[in-house]
Amino acid sequence: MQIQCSYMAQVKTRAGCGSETVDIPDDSTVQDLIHTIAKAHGAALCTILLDDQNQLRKHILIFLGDEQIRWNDNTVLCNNATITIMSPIAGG
Amino acid sequence: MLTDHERERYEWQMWVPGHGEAGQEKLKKASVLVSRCGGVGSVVAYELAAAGVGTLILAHGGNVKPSDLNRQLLMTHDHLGKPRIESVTRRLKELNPFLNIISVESNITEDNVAELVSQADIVIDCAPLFNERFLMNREVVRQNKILIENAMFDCDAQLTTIIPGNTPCLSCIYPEDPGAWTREFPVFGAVSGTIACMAAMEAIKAISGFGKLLTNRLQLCDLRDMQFRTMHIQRNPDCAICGSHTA
Ligand SMILES: [Zn+2]
Repeated sequence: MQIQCSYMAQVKTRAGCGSETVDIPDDSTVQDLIHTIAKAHGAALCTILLDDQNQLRKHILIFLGDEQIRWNDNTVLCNNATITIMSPIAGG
Repeated sequence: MLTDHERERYEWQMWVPGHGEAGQEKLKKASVLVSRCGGVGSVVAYELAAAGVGTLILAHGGNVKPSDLNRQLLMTHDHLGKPRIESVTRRLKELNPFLNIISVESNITEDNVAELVSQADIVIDCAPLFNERFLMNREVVRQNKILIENAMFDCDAQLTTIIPGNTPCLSCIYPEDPGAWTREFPVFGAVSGTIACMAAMEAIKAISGFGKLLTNRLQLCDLRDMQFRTMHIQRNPDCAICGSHTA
């Protein structure tokens, strides 16, 4: 299935794009998706998203559509879902 | 009561439905803390000064540098090398000499945060470092004040209004210090100024009492591709700062 992924802030910089379509197997979860994205974009993105246990860093925000979702809920995704991944910003 | 000059000065904004003279009197009585007064905070302070917020508490340390001048609109070329807070105060007084400005030549620290927040009705967080942002967040939760949280990076910006006990606080959103954030970041003044005007509008609405505040929602602005999205965010029941706080 295809997931529409959108990136904000330093995640966007490190992914090198603001959005992309990511192909993952049917019934994949948000954790599967983020591991796929982190692997595809290499170390620069992977280190900002995941800790050394391969878990999402606590300050990374994930939204399914307009709703915040939690990593530990490991939401199952549907085809054409829109996921936004965002790293913290403090520019003032 | 407004003076005759104030009625004339604020006439056009008193035409805004829901605001009026009663709202303008509330702005005159209000006290807002803005820290710091950089790319975001300069524009926040300028808009609040223009709108007639009676007391501005402004905290910003250091001297004006050339690299401030692309975005920190209260800093001027002729003030290079001199204290930023002097430039800020002078520019605001030029615009509105009737303001009460409490200027602090320091950024937010553990030593000054409780006192500065206690003097304000509302805090607008414009700091470039998470440790200052977390200090203001902790203190508004302790003192039960509104915090308007706005920030930018590159062409992205975000905004949310925090009401302790009713909305996520900054530590609900970011439960740990984001290690990857650095003090220097890519910025156009037009991006920091955009989110600053939106933050100033949240403060004006919160004080005057009209409109709908951006609570439990995170406004995301992407000025590179001109996309604006409003996301729903959640309190963290285990939050170390506000987890036990009830409204
Ligand atoms: Zn919290």
